[in-house]
Amino acid sequence: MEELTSTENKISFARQAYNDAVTAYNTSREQFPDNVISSTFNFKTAALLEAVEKAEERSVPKVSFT
Amino acid sequence: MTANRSTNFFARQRDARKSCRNQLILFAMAVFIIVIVTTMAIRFAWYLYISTQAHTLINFEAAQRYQQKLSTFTFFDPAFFLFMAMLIICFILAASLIKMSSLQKGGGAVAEMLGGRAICGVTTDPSEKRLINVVEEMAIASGIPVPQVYVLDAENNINAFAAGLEITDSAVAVTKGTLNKLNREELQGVIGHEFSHILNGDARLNMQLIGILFGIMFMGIIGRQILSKGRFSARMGLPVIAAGFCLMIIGSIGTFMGRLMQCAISRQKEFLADASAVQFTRNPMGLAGALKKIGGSTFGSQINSPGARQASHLFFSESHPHKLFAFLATHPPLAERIRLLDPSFDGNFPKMEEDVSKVKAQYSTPFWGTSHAGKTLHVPAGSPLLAILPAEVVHHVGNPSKENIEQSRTFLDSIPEEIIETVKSPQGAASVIYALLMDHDAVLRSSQLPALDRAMVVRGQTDNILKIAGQLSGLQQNLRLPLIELAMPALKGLTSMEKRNFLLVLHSCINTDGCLSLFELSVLWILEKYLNPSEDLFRSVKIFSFSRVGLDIVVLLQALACTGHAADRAEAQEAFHAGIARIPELAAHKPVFTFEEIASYAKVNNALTRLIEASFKIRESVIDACAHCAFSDHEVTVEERELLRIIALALQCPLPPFVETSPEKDAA
Repeated sequence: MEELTSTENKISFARQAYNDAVTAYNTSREQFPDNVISSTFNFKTAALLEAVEKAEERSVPKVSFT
Repeated sequence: MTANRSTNFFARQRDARKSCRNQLILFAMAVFIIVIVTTMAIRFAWYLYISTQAHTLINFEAAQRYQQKLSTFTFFDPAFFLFMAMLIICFILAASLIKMSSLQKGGGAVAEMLGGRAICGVTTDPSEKRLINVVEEMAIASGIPVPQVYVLDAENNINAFAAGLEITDSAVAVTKGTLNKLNREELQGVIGHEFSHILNGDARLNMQLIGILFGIMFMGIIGRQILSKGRFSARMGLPVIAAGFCLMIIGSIGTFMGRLMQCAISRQKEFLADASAVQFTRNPMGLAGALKKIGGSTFGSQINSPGARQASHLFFSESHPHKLFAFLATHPPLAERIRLLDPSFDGNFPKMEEDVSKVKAQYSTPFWGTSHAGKTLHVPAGSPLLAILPAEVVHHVGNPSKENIEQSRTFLDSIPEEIIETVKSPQGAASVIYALLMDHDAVLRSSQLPALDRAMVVRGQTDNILKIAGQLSGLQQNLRLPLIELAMPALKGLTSMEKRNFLLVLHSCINTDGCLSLFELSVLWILEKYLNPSEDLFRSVKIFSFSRVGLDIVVLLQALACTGHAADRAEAQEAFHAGIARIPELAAHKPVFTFEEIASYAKVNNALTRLIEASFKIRESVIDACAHCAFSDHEVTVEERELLRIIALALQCPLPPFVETSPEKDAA
């Protein structure tokens, strides 16, 4: 049970970390002095990770160990 | 209050620089005050010295000289002041630098200083595994490598800290109470809080602060030591006592200023860390729940470890609550922190059920469970040792109980009176020990006798020894060790040449049968240590980590397993692994078991010698592991018990004799 919880958490934290990094990049891309460099060299915004599961995958699965 | 909390990166940098400046100002103030007070103190001590000399010296000329000094004495002397100032500043800087260099090894050094035990990923304890999972999750969430995780076993309170000089090389430590009392959400909140300390550079700053504070506080420590060593200072007279007293006062100034420095930075950073924790976990109720549990628990978050005072700014919550001076708190008040996270908090802490008796929770797992997965095992009815769980063996070390004392009376009654008398003289003691360790086989015995005849201590006494051997042949197995213990004091009466000869002859006696049993080896080792005490003045405990004595522990457990199960290799291997499993740090390295019928004297000797230099905590785990190794099968013979006791004695952790729980006694 603990391993299941932990694995799910790790996946969600990894997604969260990625999105945080993307957000940080996007904001710094717009701020001075980085905006000068990004416009010169045409840096693009990065895409945030979107949720791709279907509706039934999002619900909490029922687990039994018997 | 909310205005002080900056979650913007640049504003945080600004705040950090400002707080650094404040710290430096406080430190300079502290050093200045200390210099002044110390100089005045030493000047005063010097004054006392001159005046006592001037008034009490009998020699007129010498007294004249001192009186002259007295008359020209001024309390403020620029040259002296400058000299003392530089000297003291050098001392403080040296102390700080030494402490900082000892902390250079990284966060683990702080964790071990406070009594932490490193846990590794392959631990079998579910709460530890949960902790490691939570730490790994947080590491992923914050994007740094997984730090080293420590547990402070001796603390029943709820607290945690993070330390480390580099973000990529830090350590997170958590108390035992935290593991036991918090649920997963709350644990996540606490660990998130600690991670934010690491990321914001607090861990690094705090470790440097420990070093700097040590410089100011160590004078107080020295002062206290001068005063406590009563005879030394009384002999040197009043000035030294005055100096000691003043050093203590200076030390308390230093501690006070140090505390001020600690709390100046801590409070704001704690708010910041709480906010960052919420940012990582996206769940403010977890952290709020942990704080509520601290408020509701009787142990609170107070840390008992002696070294914790210098690190009190590192912890998650107040480690040394001050009743009088609230402004000396290193952390903001609990209620305020909770309200920031959970606005609906009404100020009432939920009362926690404290299970005070479960302090040593790690020992409550019965050993049947570790190797046999909880199934109840059929133990042969004749075994008298059903009552002894090997996990409890460690509790018995150094703790003789009433039953032990009663049993020792029966021991003394069972040993023939003659022998007790003989044992009181050096020759008698030596004869008894020879008799005990003499071989039962007649052929071998006859080859031992000539050597005994020539021995210095018992020259020509061989028939006496044979007689004693006859009397002792009916002696129960478990009386051998007590008899040796009775005989040892008399051996001190031998001259050093006799002692050497005694040990040599004993060694050759033991070797006549060509192999050395672990019992004989340990007895020889104990006697050697007893008769040749080392000359070190200071307790030479040098080793504090398992990695340095790992090989020695493996050697010892291997020898123990092979002796206990000389016939069956598989059983010996199982016993070995049962023992190793008790020490997770060693189990992680997966030591290989080789079956040796004959214990190697040199290897076990070296192992025991090195383990003596290890800290008592390590020795405790070694004895625990040996107990599990010896008891891993259902049949625990008297030999195995005595072996365990001998090893414990060799490690200087004496184990009282095992109390018989069954009505019939073992036959020898």
